Amino acid sequence: MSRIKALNVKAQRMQEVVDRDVRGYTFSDCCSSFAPGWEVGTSDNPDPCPWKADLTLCWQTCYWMGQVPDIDSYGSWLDSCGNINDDWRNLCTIPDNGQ
Amino acid sequence: MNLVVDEVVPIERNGTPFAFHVPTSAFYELDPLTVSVLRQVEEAGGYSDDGTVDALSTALAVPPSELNDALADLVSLRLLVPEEERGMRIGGDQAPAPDSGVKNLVMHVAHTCNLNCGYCYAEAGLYKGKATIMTEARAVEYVDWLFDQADPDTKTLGLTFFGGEPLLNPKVVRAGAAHARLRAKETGRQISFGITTNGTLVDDDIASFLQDIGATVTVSLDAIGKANDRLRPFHSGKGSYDMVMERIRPLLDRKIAVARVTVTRLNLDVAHTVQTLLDAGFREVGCSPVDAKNPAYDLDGAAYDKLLDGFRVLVDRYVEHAVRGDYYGFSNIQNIVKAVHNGHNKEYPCGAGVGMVAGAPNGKMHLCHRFTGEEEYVLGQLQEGGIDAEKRADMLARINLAERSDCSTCWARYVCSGGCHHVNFLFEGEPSKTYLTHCDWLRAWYRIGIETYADLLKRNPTFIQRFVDPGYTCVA
Amino acid sequence: MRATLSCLVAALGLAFATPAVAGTAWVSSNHIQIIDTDTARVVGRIPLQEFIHDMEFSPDGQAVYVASSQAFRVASAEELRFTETVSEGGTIALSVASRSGDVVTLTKGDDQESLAARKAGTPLPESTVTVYGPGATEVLGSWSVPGGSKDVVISPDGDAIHVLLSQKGQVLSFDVAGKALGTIDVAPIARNERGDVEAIFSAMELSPDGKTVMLPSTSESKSAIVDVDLSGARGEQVIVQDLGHRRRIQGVAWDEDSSGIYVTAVNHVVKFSAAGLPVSWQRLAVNYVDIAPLPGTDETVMVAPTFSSKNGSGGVSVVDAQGNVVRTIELPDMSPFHVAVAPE
Repeated sequence: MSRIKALNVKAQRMQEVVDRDVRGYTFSDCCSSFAPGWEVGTSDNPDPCPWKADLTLCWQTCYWMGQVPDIDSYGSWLDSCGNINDDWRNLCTIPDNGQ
Repeated sequence: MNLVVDEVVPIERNGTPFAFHVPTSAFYELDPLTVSVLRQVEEAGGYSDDGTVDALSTALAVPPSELNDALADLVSLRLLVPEEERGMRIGGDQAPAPDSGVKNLVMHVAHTCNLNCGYCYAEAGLYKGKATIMTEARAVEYVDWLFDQADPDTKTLGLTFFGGEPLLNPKVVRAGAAHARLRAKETGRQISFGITTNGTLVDDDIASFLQDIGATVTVSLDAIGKANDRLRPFHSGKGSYDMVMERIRPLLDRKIAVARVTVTRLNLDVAHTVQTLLDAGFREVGCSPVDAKNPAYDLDGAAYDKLLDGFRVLVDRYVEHAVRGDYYGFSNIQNIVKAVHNGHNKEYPCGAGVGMVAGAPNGKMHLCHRFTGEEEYVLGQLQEGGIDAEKRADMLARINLAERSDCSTCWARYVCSGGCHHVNFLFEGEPSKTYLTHCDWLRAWYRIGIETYADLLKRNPTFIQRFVDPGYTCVA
Repeated sequence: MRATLSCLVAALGLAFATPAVAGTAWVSSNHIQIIDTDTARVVGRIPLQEFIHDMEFSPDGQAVYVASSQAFRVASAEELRFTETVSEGGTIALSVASRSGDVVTLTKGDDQESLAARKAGTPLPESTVTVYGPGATEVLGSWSVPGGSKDVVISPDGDAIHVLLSQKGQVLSFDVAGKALGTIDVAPIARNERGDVEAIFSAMELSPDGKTVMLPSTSESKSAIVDVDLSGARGEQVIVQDLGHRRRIQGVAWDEDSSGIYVTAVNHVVKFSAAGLPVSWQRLAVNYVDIAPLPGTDETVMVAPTFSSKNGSGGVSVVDAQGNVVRTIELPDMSPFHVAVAPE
């Protein structure tokens, strides 16, 4: 962060938090263990991963255990979602036993 | 999502832009691009981050890649925030829990005074009661209370001898100090002492004693010569200045005295006062606006302006010295520089009720020394175990910054935190009603403090390391 | 702005059925919307109610092949409707030979069987590769490949088919009859005890000249582009280019002259040269998951399932060579995952 210099103690603390965030869990990036779940974003709010957008992205490129099923077993999972943000309620839930 | 500029006080010094971020008390140096971005977003009423940076890029004639970087920086430091989060306080200094141990006790060893300063909130030390002297037994009881209720992990406790005039009861001062040192040794703690005196009763013996216990000695002096005489007369009407200056020699020689100037409309020439007192040998001099509802002394807008002018002169001297690596003992600016440096962000203006309480000779314990004599502000009775936790919690809730609606939009609210409870009480009847007359002055003064801090960082950052914070690494 | 037929048509206020012209992009989620990238307007819709995994134009731009969760279909680029359901079954990838016009599809095994296999820890049911002639009217060949295959590409003349077996980090090559031509190990990256690679291969893209296959890969420690030389011209067949970050890679597309590929990663789009070296790197505020170059221009079109979180809309952006977003089309009723662009 070269444009803005953190001068006093509080500013340096704010910057540390930011740096740590960038390494640990960045807005809209997977955490390093490939199992994102719910994380804290730059504004300390939950749901920085736009999970409604990530539905097939997480599953085709990595996986999101328990929240997005694999396409091999649940090929029709997204058939009823035109706009994920509006239609996510149409998604069927996969119970633990996978029925 | 619509992002807006968060509450920021822009400061410019010698062409360099800075920003004081109100909700966090963080202080940053910006660059021209971030300033333009902030200005542009402010003018546009916000920036929508869910589209492209086209519009902003065009408006600023800056390539999107650079703009994205700047925006990311601003968002991550919360200088740009979602609209609904504007002003959201982050990383504020946490006040200790209402039931945490008190750390500092102001002990009124004498409710009587040999001077008759017209503005005294204690009304010549009587605090609306009869002249009384604290007994030795009571002092020991107070000290025991302080040590017994202290949190186990509090290593340093503070005991301040107060009054009236504490040196009218030197026996109890000595006894109290001795007992405190004993308790400190027993409990493996440190005890630090303070005393606020008018200086008329100091002698070599007392000075030695005070040096021995490592006390910070605060001598109350308001002006030089006749100007001081007018404000701080004996009961006979005779001025006290010459006598005080003579009597305190032993303190000045030992370099253990600091001066406290109470500023009224009658002694606004603070620059002269402070300089003279520093020259006389005081380590530090601090100025405090008078705490009395009295038109003869009260400061109005014009008086505050004059005070500010005087402060500016003193600040210039402070900075001159700082650039040379010296400390100019004008404690008002030093305190603000420390506050800005640490990013003070508080819900309470002082330690009253939070870490500090006052104890009267009769065992009544109050929110602070200024409230002694006010029944409503009694937080407990020493004979009944000391501070009542529930009363204390209630009082703290009542005087919290959150209670002050007048403060809610002021940029200085987390550094001023509403101002002195007693001043508010005197003028508005309630600690939670802010005495607004002092606000413009406070904001102007704090701004000077921020500007001074910025100047110091640029002109001699090692000063901060030496005199403010040894652990600090300057990045300016 | 290029003067195109669609612009003229729009200016004259004529109806929807415009012929497929360069600058038309088809975007999809569980249906298709047709976008005119010059005017930034939605000019048509094809409803489906099946999630679309892949779409690609025929070389003459007349047909669009659509792979969906239930079937493989052909659509008319002019009439904006499906004209043929070629086969049933979840079709998860397809590819069109750029010169011969042949089409290859990858159809996965049955859902129930897959689920049972996952639970039992046994191999997934096999997937099927099918090669069709132009128009998908004639089957030229069909064979099984291991379950878990993720993508398929066909060479420009239709003589070689490559299948991505992402869990094994392998690309299997076949001829049209299904005879195995070889296996390329594309993951000289750490493998776990089962022999599975620790990286995720999301897609595979064949260069228009048929010489190179690029595979973006994302692993726990880094994101990389795996560059496979099919022609044997370079000394090493497989080169891994470390992207230097760990951002998940979403979409990848070749530039039409084979000069390089575009890759969308989280909040970024990167252009790589054919040697796999990054030539430009652009940070974007939105996550774009698929990308396609606009033929005849140096612009690309990208789709983002979440474009405006405030509006809950998806979006399509046209981006120039410098990475500036020049046009956007917000789609309130679609979160698009794929884009296909009509060839020139």
